[in-house]
Amino acid sequence: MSAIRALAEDLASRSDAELRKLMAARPDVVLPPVPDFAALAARASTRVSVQRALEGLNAPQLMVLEAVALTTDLDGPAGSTSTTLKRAIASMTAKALEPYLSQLHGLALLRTGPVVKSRPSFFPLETLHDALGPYPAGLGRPMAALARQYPGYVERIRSGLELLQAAGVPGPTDNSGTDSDAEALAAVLESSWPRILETAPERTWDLVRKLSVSPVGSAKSGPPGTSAPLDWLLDRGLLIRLDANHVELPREVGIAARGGLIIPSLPVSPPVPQLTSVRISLRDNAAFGAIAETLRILTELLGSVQASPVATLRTGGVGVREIRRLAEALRIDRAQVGWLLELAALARLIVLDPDSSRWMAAADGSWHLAERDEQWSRLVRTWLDSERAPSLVGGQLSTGGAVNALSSEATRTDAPAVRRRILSAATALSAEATHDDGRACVLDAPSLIERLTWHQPRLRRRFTRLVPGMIDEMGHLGLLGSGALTELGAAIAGDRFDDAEALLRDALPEPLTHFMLQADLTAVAPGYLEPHVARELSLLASAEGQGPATVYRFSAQSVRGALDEGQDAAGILSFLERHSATEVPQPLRYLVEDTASRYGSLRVGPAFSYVRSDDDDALTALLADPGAAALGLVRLAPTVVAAQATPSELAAALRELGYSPALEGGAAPRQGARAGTGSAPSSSAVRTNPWVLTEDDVEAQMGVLRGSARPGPGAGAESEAMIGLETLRTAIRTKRAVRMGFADSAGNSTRQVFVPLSVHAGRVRVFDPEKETERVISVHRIMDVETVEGASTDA
Amino acid sequence: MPNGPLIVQSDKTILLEVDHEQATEARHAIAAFAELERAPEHVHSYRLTPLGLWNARAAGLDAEQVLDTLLKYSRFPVPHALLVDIEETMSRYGRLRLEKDAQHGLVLRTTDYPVLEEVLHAKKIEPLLGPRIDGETVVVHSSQRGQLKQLLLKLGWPAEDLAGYVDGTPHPIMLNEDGWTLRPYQKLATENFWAGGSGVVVLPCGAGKTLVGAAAMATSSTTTLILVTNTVSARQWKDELLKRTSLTEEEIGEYSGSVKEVRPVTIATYQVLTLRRGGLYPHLELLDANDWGLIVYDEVHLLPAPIFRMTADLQARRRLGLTATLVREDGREGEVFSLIGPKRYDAPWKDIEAQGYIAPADCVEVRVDLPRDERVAYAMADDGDKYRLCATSETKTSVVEKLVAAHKGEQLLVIGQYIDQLDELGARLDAPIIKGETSVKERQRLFNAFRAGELNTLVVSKVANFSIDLPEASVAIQVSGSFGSRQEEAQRLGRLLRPKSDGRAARFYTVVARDTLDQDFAAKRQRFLAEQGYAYTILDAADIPTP
Repeated sequence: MSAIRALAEDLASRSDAELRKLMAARPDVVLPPVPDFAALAARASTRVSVQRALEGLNAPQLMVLEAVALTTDLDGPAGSTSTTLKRAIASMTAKALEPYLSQLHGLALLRTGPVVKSRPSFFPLETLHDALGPYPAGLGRPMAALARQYPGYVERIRSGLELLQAAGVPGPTDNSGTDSDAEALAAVLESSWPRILETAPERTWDLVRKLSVSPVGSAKSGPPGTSAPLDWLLDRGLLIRLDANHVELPREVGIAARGGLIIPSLPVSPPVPQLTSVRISLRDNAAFGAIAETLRILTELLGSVQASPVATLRTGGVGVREIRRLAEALRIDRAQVGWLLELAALARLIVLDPDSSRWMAAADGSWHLAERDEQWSRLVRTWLDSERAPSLVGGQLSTGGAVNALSSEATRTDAPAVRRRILSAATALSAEATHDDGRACVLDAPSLIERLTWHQPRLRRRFTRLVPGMIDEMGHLGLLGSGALTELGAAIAGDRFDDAEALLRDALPEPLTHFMLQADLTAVAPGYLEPHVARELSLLASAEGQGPATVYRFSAQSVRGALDEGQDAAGILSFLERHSATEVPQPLRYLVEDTASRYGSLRVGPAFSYVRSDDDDALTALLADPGAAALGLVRLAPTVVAAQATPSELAAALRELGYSPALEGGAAPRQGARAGTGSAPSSSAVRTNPWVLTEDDVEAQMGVLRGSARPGPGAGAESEAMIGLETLRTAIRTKRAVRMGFADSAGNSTRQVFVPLSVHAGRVRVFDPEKETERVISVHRIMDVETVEGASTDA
Repeated sequence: MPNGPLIVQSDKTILLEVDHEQATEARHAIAAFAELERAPEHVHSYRLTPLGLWNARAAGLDAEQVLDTLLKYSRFPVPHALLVDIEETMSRYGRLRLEKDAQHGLVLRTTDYPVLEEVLHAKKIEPLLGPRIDGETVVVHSSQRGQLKQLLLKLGWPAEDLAGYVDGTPHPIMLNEDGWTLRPYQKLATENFWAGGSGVVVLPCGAGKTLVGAAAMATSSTTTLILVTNTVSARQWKDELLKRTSLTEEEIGEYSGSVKEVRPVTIATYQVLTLRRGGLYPHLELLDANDWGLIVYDEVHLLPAPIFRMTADLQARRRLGLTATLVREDGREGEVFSLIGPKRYDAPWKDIEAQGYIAPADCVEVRVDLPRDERVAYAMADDGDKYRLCATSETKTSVVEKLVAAHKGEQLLVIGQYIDQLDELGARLDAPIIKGETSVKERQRLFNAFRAGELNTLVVSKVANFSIDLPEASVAIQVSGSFGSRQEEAQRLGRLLRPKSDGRAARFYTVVARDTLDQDFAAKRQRFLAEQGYAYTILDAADIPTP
């Protein structure tokens, strides 16, 4: 029976609770919903889904699964049982292995086979071999497979056997029934490994041990004799040269080196790293300081963006020039600008304007009105759920350049999951660590990565790339302080946002409404100012320095800025008096009054053209003329009137009214303002993960599945396609021919017998026995596949 | 979070709220490791620098104490990166030590092997060192002690100099505390200096730095070389030493442009030492002319570069630096630190003011409007002429007259840059003028008359005010020109203006033409003076009170 059908039956026989558990653990198998169990089985067997499931396994689960995959004969009558498995795994009893097997079965990565000696046996999914990659459990490929791929290797194995026998290693026993040299060598390895090592030159064991953990190693080919252990192993077929620079240790040798085991040690519990500690007062100091700083600079950033929106590059993201501009304006370094822009975009404080392709400050002012703990909570929530990885900004792209802020390259769909993982690992590690009173443990990136890798070994590389950056981000958000998990972080890890907000509310000082004015024309706000006071003050003076307090410096220029905004001296001084904790110093009062008294001695206004006449009365008459009302005439002086029309329009209009105006030099037609080019947005919008399985989805799915308890005939194209592929894989493994119906390049459907050789990347490589050639067929052209019974070939 | 008086900023400044009840306590605590940068009326700002932190290390403070101080007095969380940075910086001091080894002489020793390896591999340092004795020790050529310290500081590994000093020729010197006593902070400064060996004492202008020098000389009781900025200052030192110590006229020599005497206590000017003829410094041998037991550097922040080079060779002698500020406009603070020594005492300016030993002047800026024709002339003038045009505006003359009238009977100086203007002022005020061409004798006569109170008003040129010892006054009016560099300006003000006997503060007027370059300069002056804690007011010429 097809493996997929078998899995479908296995699934159908599970209880509702088990199915719900499966859906919860692997939501992608029912997103979108499947019509029946066959489709469910097919979905669960797809390579992508299996890979995703593998990512969720912890180290011992993955190792057990690898051991199952390596020890089970897919075409055998029964699968692996805990009893057969314990021979491959060091110091584990059958009983201890059973929970792992049932967990893997629960995840539908294993399906049940017949019961052997009162223990259930399990088959791995076929696609597991693909998903686990060529080196499962860190072992190389089997000798037989290598021999097929590297023709010269067969010779090596043969001569190796002879060399070993010549050295006194007993050959394969006659009753072992081996029918190839590879199997013979494997049998020798199994029975006489220690004896083989005895005959090897010095340091051979070191080399073998290294390769037994990671089977492919780099070894430059040199003249014989450069490395005795290397040559010795190569000569005996115990190692194979892949190319000029690489060698591989075949699986059988690796297992022999591991003492006949596949898993030499199973890490049943997570690693407990040695962590240093930090005073809690320091931790909180760092965390609350960081939060105040992040909020302050972010608000300042919004001010900057509001004043001049941030342009994007055509290739996507924000370029170095804009980053530099912001860094200078905010007096921070560029790396920080990238992070803050990302954070602001996440919280939708800045939005991409599709017309101008520029990031603008969001129109709604809720941010500025919110209390600081609310602002913080908004940032943390969006950060947690975001698929952006701001720490990747500034890193190298594979194509050369650097990753720009707010570009699509800094998106990682699993970022939210990684963040959650970090938080829970941090919580666990902090809980395990014991320290003196008043101290908390410092979580360094390597320890966290090690811990996370135990939980999800398949994600090691992603953790290594993302965790250090995320730890920094957590530091900026106060979830970590001085490297230790803060109470805020613990609350967030437990989804207790309200608690966290309350904690923060208590810790952050009340906003101030006063500042101190000094004779050196500075105002010092000794802490966080009420936003409206800060806004008003920053109109009057320019901010300096960086830190919890802000120093504002007044100058004639800054005061003029406020006058430009429509304020007057009395208003400015009354604002200063109202909010100054100290008296307004005389020089400052003088500066404001002096600047205001001379403000506007030159006045500027808009006008497109003017009318000039030495005859005052003529101008008075013109102004009184109702026909000239549309021209927007304003008398600037007895002999000058300004107009809001272009000179030529004005002249034409005046002529119509019966005047005879003369155009003066320089009255060139007005240039039309160039319309914006309106290119499409080049930066990715920020989105959060839509792949969430709700309770309702699960219920609906259960209903559909149970409504069709047994897969009917012709159930769904999805399972058919998977079954077709499975047939191909089985045929490849068992070297059988198949009859394949497919559409050729002209669109005609044909039916032909082939011997499939491999399936990879959507293509099937087949041997055409009629033409005696190989050809490649795209999987999507294949309509159906069936095994040609009894036609085993030896292609 | 405690509600402390400090706010620690992430840009490495510390703000101190002066009116806070813990302000004095906090000021004392941070003075050890942070430099006062600005001291306006309500919030003072201090800066954390590597040198400041190393000074603190030299004074025996460790990073833990500095962090505790910041955390204790800070109102808000202290930026974490700053804390880490402080710890890192402070840990660099003293990993290398210069020591006297009984067998090998001067050696550089380390407690941290990799640091020694790092400095040994620096190209410039290699030639200064002798053979390596063991993993932690290397011989230093004793002549290179100063240069080595300089280079190590540049590498960021300042060495602690524990190699000691030569004794020098003994010469009895005693303080002559007759009718006066050493102020407590002067005593403390001297003690700290002596305990530390060599180093710098920072005291505000008018706080009696000369007396700290005298006290150090008395403690040392050896022959002493005193290096001062100019002849005027040399005379002041001499007068002060004669008055305050057991030294007599015969024991004190002056070594300047005009006189070259080498006596047990010799006062030399920087100028004469750095005089260069044919590529040589002919007066340098003065440094070796005597087995000096102590070298005093006055106004360390003005120490010229050649003196630094010479000082590098004098590392075996005790060195005392005196200054009002460690901030140098040329940024050579590092050389002061490595060649003269770490800061040994720093009296917070406010404290000494509070104790009543010094009083800052009130500064008043008087703005005049240029008359119409001068405004047009100014607008059309070349850039080069603009300043002269606005600075010498004729309206200033009448303003000065009004001011002089307002301060009738007080000792008053009018200071300016342009001779024509001063001549006119002299004529209008009926006051004698002292300018570059006035003979020394005439100057002396006028000054004596001014000091004696026979003469109330003097008009002096900028040139004159640089070269001679201006007498003290209670009112000064500046009509044009700057008063030297910003640093100098504050110093001179402090020295020139003494509070009146009735306790009223002295006045410093500047007359400024509105909307011109003159006003731009004034704005800079205002900022600087206000930052130094001077009270500052701006008046329109029309608002000058008439007596």
